[in-house]
Amino acid sequence: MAYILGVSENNGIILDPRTKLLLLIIINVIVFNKLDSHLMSILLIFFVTSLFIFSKKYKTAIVSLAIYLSYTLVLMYILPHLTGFLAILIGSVLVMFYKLMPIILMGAYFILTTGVSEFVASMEKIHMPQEIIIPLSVVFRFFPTVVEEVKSIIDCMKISGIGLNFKNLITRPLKMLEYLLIPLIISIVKGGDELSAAVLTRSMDNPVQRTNICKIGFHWQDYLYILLGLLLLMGLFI
Amino acid sequence: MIKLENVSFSYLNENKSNLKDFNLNIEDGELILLTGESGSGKTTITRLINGLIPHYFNGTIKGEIYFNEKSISDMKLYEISEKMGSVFQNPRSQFFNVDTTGELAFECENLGMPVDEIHQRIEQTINDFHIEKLMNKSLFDLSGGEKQKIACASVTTPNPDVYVLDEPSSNLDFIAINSLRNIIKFWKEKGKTIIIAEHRIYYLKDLIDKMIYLNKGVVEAEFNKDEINRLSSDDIYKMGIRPIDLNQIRYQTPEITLKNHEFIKIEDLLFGFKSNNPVLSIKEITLPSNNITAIIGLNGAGKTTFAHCFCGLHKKMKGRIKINGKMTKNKERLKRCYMVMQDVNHQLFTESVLSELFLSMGEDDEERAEKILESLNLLEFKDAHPMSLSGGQKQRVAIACAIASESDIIFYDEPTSGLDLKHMHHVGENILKLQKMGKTQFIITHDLEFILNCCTNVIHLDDGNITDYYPIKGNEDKLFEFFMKYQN
Amino acid sequence: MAKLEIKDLINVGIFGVLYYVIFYAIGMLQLIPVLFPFCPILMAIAGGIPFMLFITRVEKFGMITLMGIIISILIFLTGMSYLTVITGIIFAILGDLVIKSGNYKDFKKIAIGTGVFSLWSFGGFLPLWVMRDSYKAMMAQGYGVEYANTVFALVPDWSIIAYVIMIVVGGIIGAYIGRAMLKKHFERAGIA
Repeated sequence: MAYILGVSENNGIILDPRTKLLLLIIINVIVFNKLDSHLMSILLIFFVTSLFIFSKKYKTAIVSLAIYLSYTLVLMYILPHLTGFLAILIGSVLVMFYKLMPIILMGAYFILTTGVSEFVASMEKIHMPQEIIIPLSVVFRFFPTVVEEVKSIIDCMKISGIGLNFKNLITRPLKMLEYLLIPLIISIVKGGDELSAAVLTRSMDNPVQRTNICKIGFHWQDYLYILLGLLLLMGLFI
Repeated sequence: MIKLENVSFSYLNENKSNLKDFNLNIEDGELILLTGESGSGKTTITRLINGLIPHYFNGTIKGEIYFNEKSISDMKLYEISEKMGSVFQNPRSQFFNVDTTGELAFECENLGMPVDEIHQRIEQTINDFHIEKLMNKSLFDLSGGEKQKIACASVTTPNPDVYVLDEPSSNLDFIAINSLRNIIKFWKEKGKTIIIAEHRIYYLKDLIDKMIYLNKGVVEAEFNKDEINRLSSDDIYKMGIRPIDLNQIRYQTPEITLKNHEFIKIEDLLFGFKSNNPVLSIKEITLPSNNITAIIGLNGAGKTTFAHCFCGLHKKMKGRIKINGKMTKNKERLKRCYMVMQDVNHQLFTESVLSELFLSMGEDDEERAEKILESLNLLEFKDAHPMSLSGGQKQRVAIACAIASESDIIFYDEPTSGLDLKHMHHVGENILKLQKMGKTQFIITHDLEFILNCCTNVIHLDDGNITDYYPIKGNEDKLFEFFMKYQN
Repeated sequence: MAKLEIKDLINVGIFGVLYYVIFYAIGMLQLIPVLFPFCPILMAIAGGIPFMLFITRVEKFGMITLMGIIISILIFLTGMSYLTVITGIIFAILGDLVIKSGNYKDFKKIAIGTGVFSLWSFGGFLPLWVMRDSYKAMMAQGYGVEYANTVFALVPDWSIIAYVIMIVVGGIIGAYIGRAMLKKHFERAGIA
């Protein structure tokens, strides 16, 4: 199951997490500054899917391309024929997501191919302060826990006759939200308190400089993709 | 050496003292067992030793604690942690990393050890613990027992002198308890000092050097190795702790009832997340209603999946479940069944015990709710927030909800994990009470003492199949055999 | 500035994950087009529930700031504009300062501070205005100038102010709901 950063199971050619982060920033900047360029959008999609192909995630690559293509078709041939307020709203939302696709795909690539320990190691390498690294690690550590607990709470709600079904969601949405959120918040917060105690007994507040066993480093593919990324960035000024 | 001198302690915002005038000398290489009922102060002592009191938990502390002649309250928490490894009750909340290897390296990294040395130490720990198979995996894919093993391994890599364990077996099945025993034995053979707070003690037998029995924060008795061996089952029973030898379990198995000759029949049940490899596959079984059936089996045998399928939580389940000869649909069983979860925190939704019952009833019938609460000794808590109650009380609230919703089939997922003898019997009493009310109950459990005292039948699950089903009366040997098989 | 301890940083992480999950779940409502314009306010309101519980654990300057930085990084990673990180840092610091002026206890200050803090996500909506021309050009390419004009008539220039007000008000409402939840649940459950 794909969590937000877990243990990476990589084969194929993989980039250093720092490279991925840089590419993520580059793509983000390009997309939000060059919204009107079809060419750029297509280039970016190919750029990102090539990463998926290199890391042997062929299925993800094909699915992404297919979604992009069908999106394009819908936008070109179907939407212009719709009229009225609703169509305009639907249209603008669709266009928004269409434009965001390169960013979302790059984010997915980052998430699917980076382990938490690699992420932490790269953050330490670029001297990101511990004040940011530690909360971020906690976030990644707790994502799967939140997913597990939400599933369990939803099961419990069904058993107690307050299942998250359509009828309940329509007739008493706020109550349902409360039934789901309160046990979730209480149990995550308690888990966090237990974790605090545990990591303090594991020397986490030791003032010495931390070491990290996770190996990361730049290879030819990193230089290649950084170069390509910078070239695309130059496209902003054309 | 660890020395506690006249130590008293009470937590912040609590007016009762958790520990009174406690004295203890722990020599290097000793294994000290702290035992007693819940709330007797054993966990407090472990926290005083590993420094979490006063450095994390606040309260009023009197007396002095020395670790190698230095006062623990003068030391920084990281100075203590360098020499001490702590393992806690809940396997799910004590790891910081997402992957197992990272977790093994974690404390060494914090101590700033060179990378090569950390790799060597991890290698060593993997060999000592035989955990090659668990390496480079997500901790979220491990079972509770495996998680606890990783927790033990991760405190071993920095090679501390002292290990402090707070009810480490609470959430484990009997196989995991056995490997916990082997780990503790390994530490002891290395000459480490070990302090354990527990009320399940059979797995530590013949490793204990000194056992301290606490009651309400006061030492009631102390036993050395010989005295422990001489303890009779009577003595143990009186102390309210779990048996020191499984063969000494006292029990009185409840009678099977065949009221109305009603039956539950399961036919061709099939469920799997992948179709070629079913998690659960039951050809045919007939179970009498109104009995208490224990569901036993190893981790991953499909016990919880069985319960979820029966309760109607898995829509993709194939097969037929007939209750009293009538076919039932998932939706119908979802209404008729209730499940008391292992993590009962997930099934309490409202702001008071009373409204929790109203939610289950679907109406605000205060009279009926209070009657139910009274029968479970919960009436005094009717206005309390369910989450503010103790674990046992929360479980009783869940049972009250089951009664309130008029479910006639109730599942329990490990209701006695981590409970001392007294609380185990309380759970048992309630279950027997519900049997008298005509409920059919299924209990997923690893607790032999509990099965013998509170269940009428047993189902063995193995690899998704029901391999055996029998009444306990007259078949006790079979049951003992199953549990003894995994003890060495 | 008092140094933040490990315990504080873990709390930032815990509440960061709760805030982010709730924020994101509400954000999914954007997929229902009719709700699209109201999402910022709904998101700000829902965020108030974990945020108020978080405040009970804050005693030092920096925790709220960090919280803003963490969630804006997360949002950036999952598809919002890089501008979010910038507004994230700015409004988290401002919110932190407002709440600090009430010593992290004064509810009026907390409510206003929560409103200010809620603007962290504003960077995510900014492209609608900042990159207006290129956005409009893009639309015009797809469906013609007329269509683009109609859409942009729905989002006039001054609406940026309306959005700011909406988010701040949402944050303040969230603070009140959060306080109600605190009294109804978290305090009585013994975790606040």
